[in-house]
Amino acid sequence: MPPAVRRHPTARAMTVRRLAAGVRLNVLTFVRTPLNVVLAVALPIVVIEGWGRSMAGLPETPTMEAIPLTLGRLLGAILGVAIVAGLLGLTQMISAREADRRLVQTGYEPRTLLATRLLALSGVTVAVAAVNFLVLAATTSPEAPVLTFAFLALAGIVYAFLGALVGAVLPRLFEGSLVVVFLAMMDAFLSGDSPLAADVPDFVTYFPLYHPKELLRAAMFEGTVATGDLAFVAGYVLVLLAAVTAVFGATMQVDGRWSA
Amino acid sequence: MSRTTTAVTVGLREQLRNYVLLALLVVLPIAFISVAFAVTQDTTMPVRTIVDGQTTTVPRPMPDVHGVIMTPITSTIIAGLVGLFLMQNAAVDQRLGLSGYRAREVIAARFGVLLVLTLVVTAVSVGVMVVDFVPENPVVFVAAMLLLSAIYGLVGMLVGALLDRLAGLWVMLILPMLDVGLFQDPLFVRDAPAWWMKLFPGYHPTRVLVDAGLTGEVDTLASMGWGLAYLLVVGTATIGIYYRTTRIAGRGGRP
Amino acid sequence: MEGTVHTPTSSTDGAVLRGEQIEKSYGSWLPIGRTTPVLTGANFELTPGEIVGIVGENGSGKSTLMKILVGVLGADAGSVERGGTIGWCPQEPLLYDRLTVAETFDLFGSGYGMDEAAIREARDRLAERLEFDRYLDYRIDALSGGNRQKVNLAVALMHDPDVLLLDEPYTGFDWDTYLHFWDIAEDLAADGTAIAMISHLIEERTRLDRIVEVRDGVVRDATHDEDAIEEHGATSGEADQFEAADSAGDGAADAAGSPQAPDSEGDDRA
Repeated sequence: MPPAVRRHPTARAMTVRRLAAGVRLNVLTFVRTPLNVVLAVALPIVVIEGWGRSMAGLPETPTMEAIPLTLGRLLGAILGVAIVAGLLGLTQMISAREADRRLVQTGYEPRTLLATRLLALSGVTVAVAAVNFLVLAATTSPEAPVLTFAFLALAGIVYAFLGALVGAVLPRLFEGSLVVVFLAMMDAFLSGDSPLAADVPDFVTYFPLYHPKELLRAAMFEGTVATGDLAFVAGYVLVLLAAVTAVFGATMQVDGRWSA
Repeated sequence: MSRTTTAVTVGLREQLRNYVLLALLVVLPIAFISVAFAVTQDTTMPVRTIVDGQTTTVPRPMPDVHGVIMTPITSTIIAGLVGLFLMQNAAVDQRLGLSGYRAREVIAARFGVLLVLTLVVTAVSVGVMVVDFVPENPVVFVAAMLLLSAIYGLVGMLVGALLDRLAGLWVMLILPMLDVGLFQDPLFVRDAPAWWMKLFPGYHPTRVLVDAGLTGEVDTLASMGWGLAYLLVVGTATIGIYYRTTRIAGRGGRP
Repeated sequence: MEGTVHTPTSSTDGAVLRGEQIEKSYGSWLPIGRTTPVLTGANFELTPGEIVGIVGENGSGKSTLMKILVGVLGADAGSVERGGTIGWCPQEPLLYDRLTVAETFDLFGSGYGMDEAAIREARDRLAERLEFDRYLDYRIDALSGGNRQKVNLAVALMHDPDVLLLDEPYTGFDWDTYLHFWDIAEDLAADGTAIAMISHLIEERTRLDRIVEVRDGVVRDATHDEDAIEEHGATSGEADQFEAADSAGDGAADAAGSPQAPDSEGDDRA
């Protein structure tokens, strides 16, 4: 039997260094675009308060309970995270198409690049979720703050990967942004609990934000973990991760196969 | 065919080949208006409006209220983006001016395109709405829709002159949603509107829309007058900015 | 070109274009913020039949000067006199993306006051000479960069102007088209058209009657200034602008933009 081929230690160190550098540069690129920062900070405030006050503004009628402001704000926070995370995924995929194929040709491993992208994407998504959580927590009192933040981040991750898929199909920032925004809005609206979306068909439970919304309701108002919903969301994330990996791989094809 | 007519025709052709605009015209009305009628809880809610000169609340089915307000939200978003798209070509419009088109011809052509597209956007939005709901006063409703969409088309052009495409996109998404979708929305605002809400482009036309859409008599025609004044002011500002962006300094020696 | 003779239509002492003491600064419109002076008293003159090269460092103000001379940009101070019709080829193609090449000619031709027959004749002539006649029914946004630039240039030439102001007009051209461009330019100059061209290529200096350099906000004659020419020029071999072997690739890229052809890696302008 031939001896197992051992990777040279410095190659592994090189990969780790590239990963770290890649993540840092990705994040810097995001932060250096003023529009991104404005959106990431201003959008949550606008959406959370806007959606919150809208929902709370609905009239109480004999057949309809009033919606508390907190629930409205929670729904707004979900939408805020989804939109910004979706845009992040979109921009990551667009810049991957533009830059990474060239990097692959110079010797970067596609696996490393993908890991870099997904790590950076997840990291910034968590930061975005943090902003949304802070705005939410400033005006409401979640029963389980840590869980609420964690599930907001999870909802963000779902939409970050969805945004990446949108970017794979429609690699244009303007058009892709429109798609992400309207997808997130329709999803949040139909998945959310309001009289405005009371008579929704059953398949809405398969929408990306439905189960994250259930998770967040439980964490926010009861301080519990809705395990069924958590399992569903975890599965959703895994499926999306596989899809994004496949799409990224196809984008990085060099001579019809992954290089290195 | 006069040069302005040529420019309007060609300009329209150019805009209608924009698949983003076409996709918006097809997807948004159904996603926003039809879905609103379909999924809203079938209950009655109080709507604040003017009846016989008095501010009062009238009970109306919530699906109707939701659908009626989603119609101008849809048309203002699309019209605003149309305005944004039109302004993106300002540098090319300037080059067209260099080729011999007079400033007034270029302006007339560009605003002619905006007018036609505003009509299209309004027609599509109202057309989708009437599948589920016919306004009590269709003529006034359509007039108010045209007015509101035209105002937002002009606002889109103004924003397009000041901001780049992406930043402009965000402004023209958020502004109509906050203005028509929240501050002027009878679903959510049932007290007298705060003074600053009345400064938004949607205030006057939306009052008329709610009145004409949901009540038997139209008592808010004065608001149409105010809305027209708003249109005049925004229109003048937009024409002024557009002229400054596309004018040619000193046309020399054209035989 | 048919033998059209251009004579100045106003008294500008033989010059068909003159700019005097032109000043221009770029800066923030807020009270705070930097203003950068670009032109600080630039003078420029063009007489019929001459081909003038404009050179200078990146950011020296060449394009700014040209835009002011054309009239699409206002100067802060100074004057511009124009004694004839102007054709301007901007550095970036200023065209309507969703119109076809033919429609673009129709639109700009109507602006120039040309009738249908004249538009068609100019369009076909220029399309053949600049080798984009295959793409007349293609949308502008379906063209490769080189072909877009050809249309950009042709729009400036189509009405047979008295003055031609060209800002790096052959970006993305293949070698053959580049040579055709010079044929056209030299024919036009022989008929009296005044041509000014922003250029980076040293090799062109033999084709130029004069060279001026934009430096430190002013324009100075550099016709015999070897240092200036060396400093701002590049050989065509170094310039990487010519895709001699790529004229086939250019065509393939355009074919990829058409609805019928399969997608191609080279041109993602779908």
